[in-house]
Amino acid sequence: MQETVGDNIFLLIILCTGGIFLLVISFVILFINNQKKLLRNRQQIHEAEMSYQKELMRVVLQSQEEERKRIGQDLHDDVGGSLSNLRMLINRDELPEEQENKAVIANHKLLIDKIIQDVRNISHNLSPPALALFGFTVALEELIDSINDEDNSLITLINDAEAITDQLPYDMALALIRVLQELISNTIKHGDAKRIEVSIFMENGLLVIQYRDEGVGYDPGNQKNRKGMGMQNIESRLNMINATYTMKTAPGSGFSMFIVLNSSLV
Amino acid sequence: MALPASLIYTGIIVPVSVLIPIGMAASKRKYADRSLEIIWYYLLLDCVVNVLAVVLANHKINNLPVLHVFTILEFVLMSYFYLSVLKEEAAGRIIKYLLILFPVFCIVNFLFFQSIYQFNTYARPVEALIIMGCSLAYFAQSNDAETRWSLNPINWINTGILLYFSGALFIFSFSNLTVNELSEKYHAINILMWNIHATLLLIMYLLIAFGFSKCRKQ
Repeated sequence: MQETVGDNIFLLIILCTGGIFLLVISFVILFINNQKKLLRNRQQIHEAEMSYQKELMRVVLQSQEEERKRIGQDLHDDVGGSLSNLRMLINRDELPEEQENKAVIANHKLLIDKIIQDVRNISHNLSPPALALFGFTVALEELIDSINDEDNSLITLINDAEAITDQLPYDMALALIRVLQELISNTIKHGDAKRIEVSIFMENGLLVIQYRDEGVGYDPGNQKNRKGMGMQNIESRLNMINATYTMKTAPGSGFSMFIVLNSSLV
Repeated sequence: MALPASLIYTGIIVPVSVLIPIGMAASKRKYADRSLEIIWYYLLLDCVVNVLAVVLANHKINNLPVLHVFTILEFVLMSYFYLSVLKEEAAGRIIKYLLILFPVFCIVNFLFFQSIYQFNTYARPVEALIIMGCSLAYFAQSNDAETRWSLNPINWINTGILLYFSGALFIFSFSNLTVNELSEKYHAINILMWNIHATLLLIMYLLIAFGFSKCRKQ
């Protein structure tokens, strides 16, 4: 009996030590593979973050350039145009027979007023003074008034959370004004809408801004429509103030966007 | 008298092979940090003990008392090594307690339970288990390391230590059983066990040498 058991002992020793050896080796190999995978994942996340940052930077720079171009154009077309007009008129006014003509002076005043208005518009666009002076609601109303046609039918504003919105920090309020400005300008440029509705209200302790137009909408899946400059601008501004947002649009059924802000941040 | 092949392997080749990691460590010592320095001392200790064991055996003197002392010294060095690489506070605390408890256990063991002229088959497996625990703790710690596994010398050394101590656990435990039996078959089992032990030791030395070869200027 002992003999048969003894015969197997060599094999058992080899099996035991070999088994443990194999166990340790496979543990180490599994461990290394797992760690490799972890490292790769971490690297991918890092790369994605980097490319997102780069994209954000590019958008910021590009929108800055766009803004400069627009200011330059406004100055050139509106202020520059009116000034050269005035200059030409003054040249002509130097003729003696027209010196007493009150109509001409009135004309000059009108032109100067227009220049003043243009400069005001440009500077208001650069930095809405109402925002710093009177807060978000007034600034938004001013923005809407400046765009609305005479019968006030294009944009409707319903603000049920004035108390909250007027306490928004300046950066946040400015970002929201810019986002709404961009949305409105998108609607006017591409949406061909007759009505725009902006509602602001509180829901479950969250500040919600709902933007809706009845324009032509677009196919969000279409590469051509995806993330133009304006849309990226909106996204990066909302990301900066930690707001979440959803968009809904389809060809023929308008465009809507919900922006949600945690009011504890406000 | 010609030595049998297995004795050349276990008694000469493997003990001498400790010079491989020692040589590699010597060439990289300027880059070594504290933990690698402890491994360097461990290799030197191994070398001294190997020489001592061979000399004593050649003079027909029982060299097992050396093993009892070696077990304590080896444990102390290994503990210091893991103290320097493990960042977890609890692990450090446990190792510090064991640094006192284990040598006491060894001394009690050879004073009251196992003769110093026998293998310390209680102390050495316990030592192996503790070191395996430390080694696994290091694996757990290095799971979320930022660098590639293969670039860190400690990873290779730790793998060598885990392989040696887990593989040799059985051998440490049963070394008295096979040596005390005088029949030819048990003698053969004994030789097989020590051949396996020598191979595991050789693998550990090679992994430590490879680990040292990964040392670079920080």
